[in-house]
Formats: sequence, structure tokens, C-alpha cells
Amino acid sequence: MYVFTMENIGPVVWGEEKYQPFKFPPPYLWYTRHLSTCLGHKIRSGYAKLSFLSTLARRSHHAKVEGDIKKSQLEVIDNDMKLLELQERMVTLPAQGQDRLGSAYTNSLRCLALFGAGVSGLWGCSMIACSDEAEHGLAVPNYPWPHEGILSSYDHASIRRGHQVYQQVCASCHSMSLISFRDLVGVAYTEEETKAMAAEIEVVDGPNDEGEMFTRPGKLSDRFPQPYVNEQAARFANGGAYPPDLSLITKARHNGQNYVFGLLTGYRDPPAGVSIREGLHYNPYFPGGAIAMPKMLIDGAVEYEDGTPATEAQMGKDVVTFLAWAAEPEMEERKLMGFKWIFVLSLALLQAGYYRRLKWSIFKSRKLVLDVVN
Amino acid sequence: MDSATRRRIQGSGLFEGLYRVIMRRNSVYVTFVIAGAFLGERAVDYGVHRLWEYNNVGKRYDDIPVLGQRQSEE
Repeated sequence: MYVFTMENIGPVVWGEEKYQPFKFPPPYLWYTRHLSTCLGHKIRSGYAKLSFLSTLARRSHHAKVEGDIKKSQLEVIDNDMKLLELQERMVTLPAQGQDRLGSAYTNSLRCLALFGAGVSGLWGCSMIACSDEAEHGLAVPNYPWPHEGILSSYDHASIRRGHQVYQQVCASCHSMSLISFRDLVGVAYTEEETKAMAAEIEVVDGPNDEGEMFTRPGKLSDRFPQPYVNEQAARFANGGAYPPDLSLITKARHNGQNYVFGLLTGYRDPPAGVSIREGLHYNPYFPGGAIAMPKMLIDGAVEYEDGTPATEAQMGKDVVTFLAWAAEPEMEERKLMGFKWIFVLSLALLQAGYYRRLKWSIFKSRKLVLDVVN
Repeated sequence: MDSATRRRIQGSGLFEGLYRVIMRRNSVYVTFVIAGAFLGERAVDYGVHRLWEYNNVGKRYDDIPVLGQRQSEE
């Protein structure tokens, strides 16, 4: 008959004077003690990174453990069982031999698989770098935007200038039908300024009491005015090409902010041998190289309110900042919220880890004794 | 004698002190968590906003130099 007894390291009673406080082990010991456990096996075998490899490793390890157990069992059997012992030895011998061969086999297989994974990963990365320029356009450099970074806000003066550039240069062809005038209040203009700006446009409003549509000056709640009535009119006026709506353009293009800046400032003469048909213009950043939009940003095209010199690069930077704000007006709130809650949750993670270790300390520090009665 | 000195050293650290104050009673623990969450969130909000403003000098809406000038031009 077998009996389990349990020894704790010290008595555990709910009285204060008898409780042994839990001693937190140093962090470097938190997981090294577990290498002999199931988790340790998982960590070791997960290192191979391929599921069939880990099952192979596990199978070979189980074979080795079984071989060890069988060996110890055989030593306990007395002389009367020698015949049976010989038979068992004959049965276990091939398993042991296979196991010794198996561990070396899995080792070399593991090395080969790791090497293969490394080579295929390297090849994949190189394939991405060699993507076709005619298909994707010239790769755009990454510019150091002022609003780039985990705690960086938009440059609101730049948003204001960018809206000015949009209004004077781009709005004749590009709509921004998802932005209302009221979105600008508190971001780039005061309420009075925005009301005055909205009042400059004419808006068609719903049927009046006589059933007729009428026009009125714009209000804060109106959307930005559209240059063309519909897409067909836009295509007809631009040689078949549709100037896309710019409300979400920096999110709708890969690496949108850098791409739009590179596109606007990237007009140049086509290289020797490349001919662009009449009506199109060469731009290496545009996929295909031939874009219907002509170069719009020219030095001095806009006179800024705050006196900033209106160079091509300055106008490009300001208009891209404005477009980035238009596509992601929530960015500042999002960054603040993200920083705060990631910080708070990592503190909560530490608390949760401590609390779990505290409650489990009783079970981690107990001893089990398997003993024979009589 | 030896174990008594060990117990005194064990019982005097920062974590041991915190444990003795907070973790003995569950009611004290829960109160600490709720009050700590309220006060801690206020502190974190204040700290993060100070950090944000330190990092974004001159980029705020209020820093626009020509704010309100368009209206006066009309």
C-alpha cells in the first residue's frame, strides 16, 4: 500500500505569527528551474521552429526516458526473474540502439532545417528588395516628418499652410468630399475664420416650401466643395484620367505620406529612350512612370500668410501634412491614449505576475513524499 | 538565534514592508487597487500630458502665429 505525505517548507497556518513570508526568487531564476519540466521541454523543442521536428525530438526523448526507466527496473528484478530479464533486454536493446541513433539523427535534421529556414528567409527578403520599379514605381525615401514618433503631434501651422496650398492649387481638380469646414476649427483656423471661409462658397440646399432647390452661402457643417459634379465630368475634363479624392489619400497609398511628397516633387525629364505620349507626364514614383497630372508645385505659386518662403519642397511638406491630418485627424488623441494605456497595462502585468506568484507560492514550495506503509 | 536574525533581515525590505501593509487582508488589497487606480490614472494623465507638451513645443494649434488674421483681412 502506498501513501502520499506532503511536507511544506515550514507550517502554513492562517495565523500571522506562523506564516513564512514568500521570498521572491531573482528574475534570472524564474524560468531556469523549469527546464526539467514540461515547459522546459516545450521551450527547448520550440527552438527548432518546425512542428514535425519538435515531435521528432519529443519522440526520441521519450524513447530515451523509457530506456532509462526500463534499465532501473531491470536492476531491481531478482535472480528468479533472470530469464524474463534476458527477454526484456533483448526487446529493449533495439529501442536503445535506435534511440542513440535517433538523437544524432534528429540533431543533424534540426541543423539542416534551421539552415534551410535561414536560406529561404534570406531569399524572401532579397526578393522583396528586388521588386520591379515599373510595377511599383521608384521606391520613395522616408522623410523625417515632424509628426513622426510615438509622442509627436502634428505641426498645426503646417496644417494651416497646407490647407492654403490645397485650396489654391489642388482644389480645382481634386475633391475632398469627406472633410467638413467644422473639422478645421481648433486645428488650423478659429471658428470665425472658418465661418468666413465657408461663406465664400455656394451650396445647393434641399427643397424649400415651394418645392424648389435653392443655393445658399456655405456653413460650418458643409463639406468641402467638389470641383466636378461626378466622376464622368472629372474624367472628361482631364483627358480620361480621374483626379482621386484626397480625403484619405495618405492612407490609401502604400507609405502614403512619403509617396505623395515624392510624387509632387519628383517631376523630371524622362530618361533617354523613354517616351511619354502627349497629355501624360513623366514621374518615376508613379507606377508605370506616366502620370496625367502635370507638375503643380512651382516655387512661389502660393503666398503664405505667415511669410514662410513658398518653395516647392515647403509647399509639398505643408500639403502632405494637411493631407495626413485629413486622413488621420485622431492621430494625436490616439498616440496619447496608446502611450498611457500601454504604460498602465505593463504595470498591471507586473502586478498580475506578482499576485499569481504569491498565490502559487504555497504549491511551488511543497514537497511530496511517496512512501510505503508496512 | 541564527534564524531570528535571518527573519529580521527578511522582514525589513521594501517588498516585505509593502506586503505587510497591503497584502495581508483582501479588503485592504481591493481598496488599495481601486484608490490606486483613481489616483494613479490622474497622475499618469498629468505626466503624459507634460511629456507630450515638452516633446511638441511650437507645434500646437495655439502656437499658430497668424491665428485670427484671416478674419481681419476680410
